Amino acid sequence: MANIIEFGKRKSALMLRAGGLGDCLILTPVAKALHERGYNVDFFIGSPTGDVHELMIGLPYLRTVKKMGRIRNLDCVEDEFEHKISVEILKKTYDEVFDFKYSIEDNYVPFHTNEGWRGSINSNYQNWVDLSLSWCNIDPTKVKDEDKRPEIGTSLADIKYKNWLCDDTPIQPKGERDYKVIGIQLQASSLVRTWYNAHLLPELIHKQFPNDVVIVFSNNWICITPSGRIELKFPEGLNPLLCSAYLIAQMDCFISADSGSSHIAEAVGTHSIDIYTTVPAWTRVKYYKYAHALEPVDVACHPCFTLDTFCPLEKKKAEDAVSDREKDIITASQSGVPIQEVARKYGVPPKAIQMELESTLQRQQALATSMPACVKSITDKHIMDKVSEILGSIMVKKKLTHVIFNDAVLMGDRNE
Amino acid sequence: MINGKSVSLCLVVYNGSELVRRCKESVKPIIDETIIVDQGSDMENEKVLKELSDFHIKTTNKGNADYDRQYCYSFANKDLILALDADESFLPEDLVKLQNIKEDYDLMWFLFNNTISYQETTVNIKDLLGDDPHPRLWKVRNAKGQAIVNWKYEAHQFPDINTDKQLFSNIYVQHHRLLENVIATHLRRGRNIDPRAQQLEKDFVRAVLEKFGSDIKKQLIMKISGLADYLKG
Repeated sequence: MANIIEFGKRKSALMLRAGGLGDCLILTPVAKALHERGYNVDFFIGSPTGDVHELMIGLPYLRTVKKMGRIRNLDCVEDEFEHKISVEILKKTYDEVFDFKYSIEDNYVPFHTNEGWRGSINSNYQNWVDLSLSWCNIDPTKVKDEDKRPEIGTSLADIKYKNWLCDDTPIQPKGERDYKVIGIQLQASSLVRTWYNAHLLPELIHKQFPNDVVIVFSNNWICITPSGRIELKFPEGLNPLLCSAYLIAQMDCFISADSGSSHIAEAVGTHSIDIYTTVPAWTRVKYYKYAHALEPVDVACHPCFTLDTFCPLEKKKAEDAVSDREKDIITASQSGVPIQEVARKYGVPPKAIQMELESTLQRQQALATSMPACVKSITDKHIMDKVSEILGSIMVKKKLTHVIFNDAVLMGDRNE
Repeated sequence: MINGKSVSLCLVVYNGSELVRRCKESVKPIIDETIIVDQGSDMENEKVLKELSDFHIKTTNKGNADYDRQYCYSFANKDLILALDADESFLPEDLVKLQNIKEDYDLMWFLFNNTISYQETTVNIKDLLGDDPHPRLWKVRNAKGQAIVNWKYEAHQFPDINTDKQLFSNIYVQHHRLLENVIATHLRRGRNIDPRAQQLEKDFVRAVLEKFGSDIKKQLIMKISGLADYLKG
């Protein structure tokens, strides 16, 4: 893309992204590249993960960053007078609009091929930052690798986050403590990207690093210190997402699934062990400095690239596991055969067929949640080796002086 | 005019010419023409309505304004349609807010401050209807030349909207009604509208009377014939 700064006048660009935390965060390098090429960049973000936009407030290359919400099926943002304006009105006030909706996740959708790269399956074969840069007509080879990492703004510099950490949690900030903090967050929005055995890790870590602190995310952050376990509460008025980001920033090592928090770790400079299952790690973390990716070993179906909830093979097995009659009912339902007709065939009331259909689908779903081969192939040993590698290279400032770890606490945690 | 665009005020009314006067007065600085579809007002009201309008079209009383909305809007000659009911109005400060919106919207939604009065008592029915957002201002046609709004020939239904350039303002339309009028209107059209709309209205009247308390409810049941039976169903 030619540099468009002419006579000191900048053009305006609007970036739109509706998606998860990671989907939005990885677009910060794109905003930066646009800014360097002479654009004033506004970024509207609609995320089910929460107020993701607050992570980007204060980034010098973003003119504005706003939360996008849906009203009557329209993406809207709020103006300074609290009117909610549909993005379609605002689009034409920009020189360029870059809409990243479905850019990664609906890659396979075979319709609307005229919209962006839908149907192109490009995101399976390119790094997603490179892909997003290309979408803005920026040659990715002209952007420095170090500029292809996610960044967060100034929100975390707010003293209230440090106060919360010091006053309400047993963790002291990095550099002011004599122990290491290891975080674990192995849940992802999809089961195939979730590592199933997270509950094993705290005990293993404490065996090897008995005096350090482990923080585990399971709906809330639970802090397991040598003297006990505490559930961390987010005070009212603080953005829970920013609290989590602040926590991640305080960690010496973060064990993460292929999910948004791993990109936060990169942005805040925390070493993270990222477990990749269905997609190759290089499509996500190729340019990251702090990411240590773990990928499936000797798994024939890897990478399958699915962004679906379930493993396609486990799903197939689950579909095959039902009886011929159940298969027949599902097929009839999917092809629009009236339920009365199916009921007549089997000599039962329609309601019974409906119930049978629902229970079969539910059973199939339950069977499909079996741990896929790619997830299984990454073991706790692989993770612990990486933890040792990372922690071994980090020096703590002071000598440890406090308490011995209580085994019973950890066992209690496992049993729960 | 609003930001250089001319405005047709469109009203579907049945009697209540004084309300129409109040409504028109409240938006006078921004309107360029007034179109009134009159659903069979009496002669006295009709005379005033004719004076207040640039176009006065007489139809029949259908029990609800919704049935004649699309018909009314089809007479609009200006850039924007401001569609109000006779008992709605704007506060001057809200009109200023409206004029300060510079975005090029096709259609704007407004919030509603719904109040009902009986003698000295006024109740706000926000807890019944919420902010009650409705579209009230829109361009006659979208970029493709289609009508932006198509009101269905049904009571209490949202129209079809043919644009995604919508603005959800935080401006309130004042909707003030008298309790006796509310009851009279609902009693009068009770039989004329479909059963779903009838039930909606009946539930609404019951909830409103609850808010005014049992003494006023008793007074009104004594005063208005047919109300007791209406509330039973």
